[in-house]
Amino acid sequence: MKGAHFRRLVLSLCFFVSVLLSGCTAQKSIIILLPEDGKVSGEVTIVNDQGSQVLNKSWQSVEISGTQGRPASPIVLDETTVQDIFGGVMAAMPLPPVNYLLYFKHDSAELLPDSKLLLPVIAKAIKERHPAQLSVVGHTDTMGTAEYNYQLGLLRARTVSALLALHGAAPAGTETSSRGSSDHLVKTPDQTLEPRNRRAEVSIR
Amino acid sequence: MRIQVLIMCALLASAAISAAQDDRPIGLVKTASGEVFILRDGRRMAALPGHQLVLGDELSTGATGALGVILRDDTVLSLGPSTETRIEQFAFEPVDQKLGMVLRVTRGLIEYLSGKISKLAPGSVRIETPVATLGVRGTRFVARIVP
Repeated sequence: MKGAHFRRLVLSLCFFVSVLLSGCTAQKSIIILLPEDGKVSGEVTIVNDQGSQVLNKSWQSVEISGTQGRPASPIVLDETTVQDIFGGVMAAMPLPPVNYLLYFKHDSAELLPDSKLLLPVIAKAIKERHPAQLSVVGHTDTMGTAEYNYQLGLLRARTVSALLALHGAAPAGTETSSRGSSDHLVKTPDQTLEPRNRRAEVSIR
Repeated sequence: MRIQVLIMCALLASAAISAAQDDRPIGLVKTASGEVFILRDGRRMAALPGHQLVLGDELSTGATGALGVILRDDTVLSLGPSTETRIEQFAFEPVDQKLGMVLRVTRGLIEYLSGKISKLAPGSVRIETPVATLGVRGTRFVARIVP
């Protein structure tokens, strides 16, 4: 009898404490601006029927209570607090896409020495982003005919894709294409030698 | 007569092209752990890395789920546990100046890193939630939405 009474007391105490706790930790909606490479580049505006706020500084946050509470004045949080709430979400964030430019010898799909050095770097970026989508777009300068340049651009793109495979890259999907001499990095007249236009644009997502 | 046939052909062709564009994948699942789902046309499937996303997909996670995706304009998005989102609008046609995105977040935790749409057309990216509308201009943020 005594035991049962004690148990009931403990149960009701537990109930009381849990009500108290849930009252204290009733979660509010919150939006927090994060830096990119150490600085904030843009802003987020938060608007509802009750008002609006703008976030434009690192770690600045706005809270909203309930479904349509007024957005509170921005408060700057410390990184640890943000990590406590959002650590799991931030860990699930994929690596952002990266782009590279590779350059070629004149009228050739052979890479220039500096660009060759980038191949292992790009292969690593593909590996880190598994399952990665690789896109290689080949370009030429304006020497020669449009048709010839289209084929040269395609050869450059396919060569880069094959070289990356030799460096151990195994993207889940690959797209190779050519823009020929139609899309210059450096604007030139027709029939102009321009090393900076003999390139392939590599994007990894 | 011949002109009418030509016009018909042109109309059919343009309809085929716009249909093809609508079906084009708008994103890719990159990370997935725990219970993570894609709801498409009333069918629910487990989300796995490598899965393509299309317009209108609902992404959701269970109590232990986490999901990371990259959209076609290089927007990077992740979902924490017990989160529900839907990609309601997505236009990334820089040549035609068609740029915009609306993401609905019904509940849960997200991280968001702007892609090219936001850079090319500031003010054209919106996150709709039950508590407020977020206008995003080329930036990175996290949000917890408690409806």
